[in-house]
Formats: sequence, C-alpha cells, structure tokens
Amino acid sequence: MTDDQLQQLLTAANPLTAERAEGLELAEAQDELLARVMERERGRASGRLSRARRSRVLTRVGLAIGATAVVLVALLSLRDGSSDRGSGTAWAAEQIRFAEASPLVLLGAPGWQVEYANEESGREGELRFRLGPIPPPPDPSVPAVEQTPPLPADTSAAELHWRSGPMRHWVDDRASGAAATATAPVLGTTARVYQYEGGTPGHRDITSLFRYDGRVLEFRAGAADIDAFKVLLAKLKRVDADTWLSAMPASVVKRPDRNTTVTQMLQGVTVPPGFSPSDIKGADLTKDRYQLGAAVVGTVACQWFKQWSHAREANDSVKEREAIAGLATAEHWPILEEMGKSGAYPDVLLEYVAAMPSGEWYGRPLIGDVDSGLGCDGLGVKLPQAG
Amino acid sequence: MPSDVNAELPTDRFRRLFADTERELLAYVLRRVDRAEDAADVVAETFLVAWRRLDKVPAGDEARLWLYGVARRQLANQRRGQLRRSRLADRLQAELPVAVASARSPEDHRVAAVRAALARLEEEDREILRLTSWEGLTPSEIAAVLGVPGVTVRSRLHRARKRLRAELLQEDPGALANTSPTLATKAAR
Repeated sequence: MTDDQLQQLLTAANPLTAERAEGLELAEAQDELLARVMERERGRASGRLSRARRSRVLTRVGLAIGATAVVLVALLSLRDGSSDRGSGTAWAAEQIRFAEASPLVLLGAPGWQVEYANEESGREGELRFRLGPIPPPPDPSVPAVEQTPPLPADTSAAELHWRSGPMRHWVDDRASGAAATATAPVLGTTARVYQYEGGTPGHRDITSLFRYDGRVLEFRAGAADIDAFKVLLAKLKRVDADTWLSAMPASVVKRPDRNTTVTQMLQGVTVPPGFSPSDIKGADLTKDRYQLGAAVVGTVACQWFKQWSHAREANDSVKEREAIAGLATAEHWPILEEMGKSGAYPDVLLEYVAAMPSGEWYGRPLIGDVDSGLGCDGLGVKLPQAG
Repeated sequence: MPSDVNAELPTDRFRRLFADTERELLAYVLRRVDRAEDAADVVAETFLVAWRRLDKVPAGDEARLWLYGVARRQLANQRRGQLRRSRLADRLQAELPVAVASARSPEDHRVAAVRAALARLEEEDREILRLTSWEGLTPSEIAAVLGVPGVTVRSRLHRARKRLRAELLQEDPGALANTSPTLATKAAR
C-alpha cells in the first residue's frame, strides 16, 4: 500500500469534510458564542500584537521538545571501563571550552548513565539518561531489521534540556495542561514541577523548569509520582568539564576523531560546487554520530537546495538539473544508510529530493519546508524565502 | 499587512479572528469528539483563551494553527473530565447534534476499518495523521500546532504511516491492499 493509497483511505475516513462543516447551519449560535466570550472577558485583551515573539516561542518550543540538545546530567557513577574516557582524561582544550559553554550538570543517581548528548549550539543542548546498561550504537554492518532499538519496558529514562532566553514562555507552555504542580529544590535554586496525565501507575510524565547558569533548564522523567520525581531531581549535580566529558556515551564523537569522522562521512557523498568541509557548522559541538551525520549531510543538502532554488528563479535549467542529479545520488550515500538504522532523517531528506522536480511539498513551495525541516538556517545556509 | 494588524482594535481583531477561524476550528474539534455536543465547550474555551491572550495570537494563517494547539489542550482537559462546563455555548451545544447528524460522512466497511485502525494507534501517531489528512496541514504547520521541529513531524509522520499500514494490513490484508474507486473519488474531493 503506497502513501497515496493510505492518504486516500485516511481522507475517506474523515468524519466531517470541510465542505460539510462549512454548510452547518449554526450562524446564530456562533454569533451568540462570540458575543458571550467577548462580554465575559471584555477589556482584558491587550491591543498590541507580538507576532514575532509568538513565532519565536513556537520555534523554541519546537526546538526544545524535539531536538536533542543538551545539558548533561551524567552520572557521577560512571562508566565502566572504557579506558580512554575516565575522569582525568586530557580532553582537548577546545572540547573543554565547548563543554564549559553548557551547564555542567549530571545526574548523580546510582545506575543512571548518559545515553545521548547533543549540543544544538553553544547555548542549547540536551542529555538523555537511562537507568541501566546503555545499548551499543547501531552496527552499520547489521541490517536495520535485525537491530532492536526499543527500550525494555522497565527501563527508566530522563532528559535534561538547556536553553537560552526567558523562562516565562516555557512556564506558560509546560503549565498548560498540567494535572498537578509543585516546587522542588535543585542545584541551589527552586524548580517548578509539572505532572501530566497518562502513563502508567508507576510511570507518570513529570517535568521541571528552573534557571541555572543563565539558562533555562528542563529536567523531565518518568516517575511514580511527584515525590519520587523530586528525589531524582535532587540528584542533579554540578561537575567539572572533565567529568562531564567523561560521562559522555560512546556514541559521542570525540574531538580528536572529529575531522576524520567528517571526512569519512563525506565519502560517497556528492557535494555541490564550492563545498568545503569547513562549511559544516557545529561540528565541534558535542554530538553523536547520528547528529554529526545530520550536520554533515544537512549542510551538503542545503547547499544543493540553495543552488536548485536560485537556478529555478533564474531559469537556469543546467544548474537546476545539476542540483537534482546531485541530490538524487543521496539514495546511495553510505552515511544516510547508516543513519537510517537509527532514525528517519534519511527518509525525510529523500522525500524532499523526490519532490524537487515539481518544486512542491503538500501544495506549498518545497523550499520553505526544506529550510525548516533540515534547519538550513542553523547550518549557515541561507535559502531564498518561499514565494 | 502587519502594520494594519497592529493598528487594529482588539475587539475588531478578535471578531475578525473568530469569523475567519470559527468554522475550521469547530470542524477540527468535531472530528475529535464522540458526541457533537461535546465540541461546544471545547470551542468556547478555546476562543476564551484566544480573547484573553489576544496579544499572543499570531497574525495571518498562523492564528488558526495557534487555535488548534489551544483546542488540543482543551480536548485533553475534556477527556480527563477537567473541562469546565460554561454557559457560553449553550445554544451551540443544543444545536450541534442536529446540525451535525446529517453532515457526518457515511461509513462503509473500509472507512470503518480505517477508523478502527486509527483508534488502535497511539494518540501521537493518530493526531499527526489526522492533522495531515483531515486538516490538510503541511509538516511545517503541524510542527507549529504540536510545538515540535518540522523534521520531527516528518519522522513521526513516516512512523505513523508505517504503523497504520501495519494495522490495516493486519486487519484486512486483501480488501485494503488497494483503495476502491469510491475512496479515490472521495479523496480527490
């Protein structure tokens, strides 16, 4: 069953089409509702709009929820064995500097380890912790279907995000829909705690917000109740940069290996004219192979899409075809094949590539979606605005 | 356009917002409730939030996405029995069941199978499929509604389609392998 066929089935299953909704005879009832709402809150609405601010909030909410950026809570308990990662490792000065740009916080509870770390920028990032053994990163030599990424049912997980900017937007967002709220001490300050509905009796979705080191930190975890969450929250501890870096999971690409890794990731990738590996922004941040791969492939793809878009505007069919042909090879890029075992980034990119001949994405200009979807702006590639 | 919006009185802006979005918002809510009358309070509370926080409602088409986001939370409150019963929408509540009864799309066995398969999905998967197929939103618009990055929406959409396809094929591998001309016609609308 193709996506189009599935789409047809879903469309047919719409219980109320737009046309039928438009034809509902409810004009007077709607007028009455409008009048009552305005009467109820008359005078409370302010007269100025702040579209830009709202837009920023939405964007930041998006970044925060989905991306994986972050702060680290690692465990002081630490990693077993890996010889070159223990505390006391002589980390490169550059790596230390980047680490110090992040909140040096780890989850110092027994058994918890950093499963995943990603810095979106020097100001925003994310750490994910897991209670129990950390599975090894995907083995490129093993077919995806034979790998088993899902968490065991009894695994506990937690996330620590750090973001810049004011805290009130996050408070508004997280407070909305919370079933219960509380406050709790953490890292010498007080966190606001929000519990949501859902989950299981032993595993509720609970999050917390607090300011630390000039950033907004959010620590989120599944816990039996707020009291249990508070116990875990209190385990967040500040550490030095060396300890922080030593707590990074094996999947994080170490600074000494970074250039070699980028070069290796670019093997088999068709790059646009003028591309240089130095164009890849953020390669010095703490990232695992998947996120580093996204930065590498994203930069290449965004540059191709930039050429493609400019060529279409200029009616330069040669350059347009060159860009389409260049990205058409993405299907065979080894790094995408590897990333496909860990996430859907390759699927998304290939869907964009498939849409290049038409230039449309769900009825809208493709270029606008590419920009937001691949994060071209954040990768330092300015795409033309969608018309 | 932005300067016109900024110069507009709050009351005028809210009336325009209401006129521009009320039918789409009502349809959005009606597609997600079991009983038509339940949509009235959700719509009323959503517009009440918009009126109180008009300075936070984005201009243009983003306003509709913002309202969908608010309505999602109100629907969640309603499912938990936490949505307050107001008298703001008494008339709407009374009239909705009758008005909607004849407007609901017919349900043949294939449509029933799709709805049943949707119901078996997790809410996250179900909602992203509904926003795509029923509200006709692009991944970027869905990202604004759900408050996640566009790339995350596409990942989730890919996953949700995969799961729905598996549910459908498990339910009725033969009949659902190909869509019928009837469905194709409906989809083309």
